[in-house]
Amino acid sequence: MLEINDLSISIGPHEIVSIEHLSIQAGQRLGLVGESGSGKTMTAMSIIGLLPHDAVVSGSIKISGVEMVNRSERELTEIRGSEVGVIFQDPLRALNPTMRVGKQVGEALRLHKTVPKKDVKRRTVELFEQVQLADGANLIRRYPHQLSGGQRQRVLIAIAIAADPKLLIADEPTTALDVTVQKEILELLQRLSAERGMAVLFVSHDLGVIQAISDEIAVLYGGKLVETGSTELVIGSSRHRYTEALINVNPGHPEDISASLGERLVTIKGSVPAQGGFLSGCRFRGRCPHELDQCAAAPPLTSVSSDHSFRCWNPTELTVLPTSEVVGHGGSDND
Amino acid sequence: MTDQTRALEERPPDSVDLDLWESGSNTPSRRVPPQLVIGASITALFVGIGVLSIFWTPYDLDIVDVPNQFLRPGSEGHLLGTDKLGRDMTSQIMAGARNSLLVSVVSTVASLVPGVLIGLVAAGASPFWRSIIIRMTDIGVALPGILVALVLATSLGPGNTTAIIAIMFWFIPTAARVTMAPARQILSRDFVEAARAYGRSRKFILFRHVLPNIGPLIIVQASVMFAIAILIEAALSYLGIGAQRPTPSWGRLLKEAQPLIGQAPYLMVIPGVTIMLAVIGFNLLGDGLRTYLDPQQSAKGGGA
Repeated sequence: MLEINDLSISIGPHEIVSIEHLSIQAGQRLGLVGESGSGKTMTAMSIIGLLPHDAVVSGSIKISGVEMVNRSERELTEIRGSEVGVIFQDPLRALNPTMRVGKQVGEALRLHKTVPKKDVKRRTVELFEQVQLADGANLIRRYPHQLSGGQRQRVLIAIAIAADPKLLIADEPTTALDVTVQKEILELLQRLSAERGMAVLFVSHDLGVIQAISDEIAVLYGGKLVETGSTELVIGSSRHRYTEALINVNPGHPEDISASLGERLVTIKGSVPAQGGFLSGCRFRGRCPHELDQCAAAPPLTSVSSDHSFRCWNPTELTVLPTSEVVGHGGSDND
Repeated sequence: MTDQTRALEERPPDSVDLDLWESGSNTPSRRVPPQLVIGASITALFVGIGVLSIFWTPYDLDIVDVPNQFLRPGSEGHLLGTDKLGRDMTSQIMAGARNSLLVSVVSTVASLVPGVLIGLVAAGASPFWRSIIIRMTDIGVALPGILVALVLATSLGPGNTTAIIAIMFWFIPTAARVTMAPARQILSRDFVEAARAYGRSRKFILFRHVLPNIGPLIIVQASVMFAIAILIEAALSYLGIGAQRPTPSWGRLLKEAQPLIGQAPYLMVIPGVTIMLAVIGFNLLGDGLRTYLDPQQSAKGGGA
């Protein structure tokens, strides 16, 4: 469905993102996780060609076998929406404050599909039902500021799926929502992806959210994939030291937290360096507590199994644990 | 758009606060600011008199009645007096409103349409083309308007058309600049990114997403431009390159009254005060609209 090969995004002299391989099958949900500045949004937006003017993209991004890199703006405009839908972090900001939400959904409907004018309203209400917005006939006349956060995000999802895209890019779609709404939206996305066979690229910094929704996880650091694999393997038997650190910093469930009250929260020391500030070799060098001399050279790709690989010179040793116990640790809101 | 993309996008100017709808639109009561009421009343009066003068004035505009020359304001049958040929000042002022209205409406609309268009195009253009358009509007703004009008008058001859074209030279670059900065701010908003992400063309975004969002600013700008256009029209007529007899004009009344300032000062005071009132009316209207259309300001009590 989506296949990325040798993708490189540069701005000026800095290579912001460099990804050798990433793919999503139809109906599959891939979670792209990383800190702020890791290049996850850039990666997601490069798929539909929405990057800053001065960004240079090379490599290959294919959607259903169709190459997306170096397409003209006009061709991209065709593909956006019809092949790929996008939902954004802040649903209030992603809706036009001067237009009624029904109209915004209706326009998305008519943009890529020939929907007769008289059917637009009915189809909009249908879409609202699919994203579990009750009382759609009434809601379509509201303005964005008259809706709740969860309702707005559902409207955005309705816009994103209006033209039946094969791939949905969800860029931190739950970050601006409170936890109960977050859970509902995650369930909705999961259901939509299963029902429609729609691939989902879910971008977040929150490993708990990613774990709740994804079949596969790709961990991005400094614009490079450090570990990829099925959710169980990446969370349950993570090998890369960065993934390990990410899992450790998650405070986990309330009962876990109460047990550790009074203790300091675990953090990853330092912060992501500015562009150009990365050391040679492994990008996590300088912040990694398990650094070796050889880390100054680029770490090789190690495949643990067909669906789990990582790049680390000094990976976490596998301790044999029942997977389920460890998996429960990363989530904060997934059950 | 979250981390890197946002940081890497060049920052549009933050000169204008555009969050008109974001936080304040739920405020329960929207007070109508007093300057809006006063401004709208003066403007309505002015427009009403202008329209009325098309159908009726107390006296025919060009009736010369020399025996009744230089009647003081308040005289029998002539509320505002008569000029040196005995023509009724009330009628002249009424008809002058019509001309001022015509020139200011035509020149403002004819400037705003291309000006806003240029501003929108510049906002959506690549940095290279944008900088070219900005430099061109800079040149336009830097041109001394009265000089441009004088040059135009020598080739086109004096008259309303000359005044309108001269005002357009003045206003188009201003309108473009006033549009561009806020339009760029709207373009950096997430809903524009969202619209692009679901496949909207640049043109559609500019007209359907950006324009409605900067609409209030353009309305305010229009009312300010009306006021300035009235002033410029009067100035040009005073200099003799605007309306000529028999076209009635406040500026021309001023010009005709100038040699008689010692003998009949009211001939100068009356059109002068009228121009001032009309300009104040439009300015208050613009000020009031700005407050009224910005919920954040009206929530604070409406002081602009």
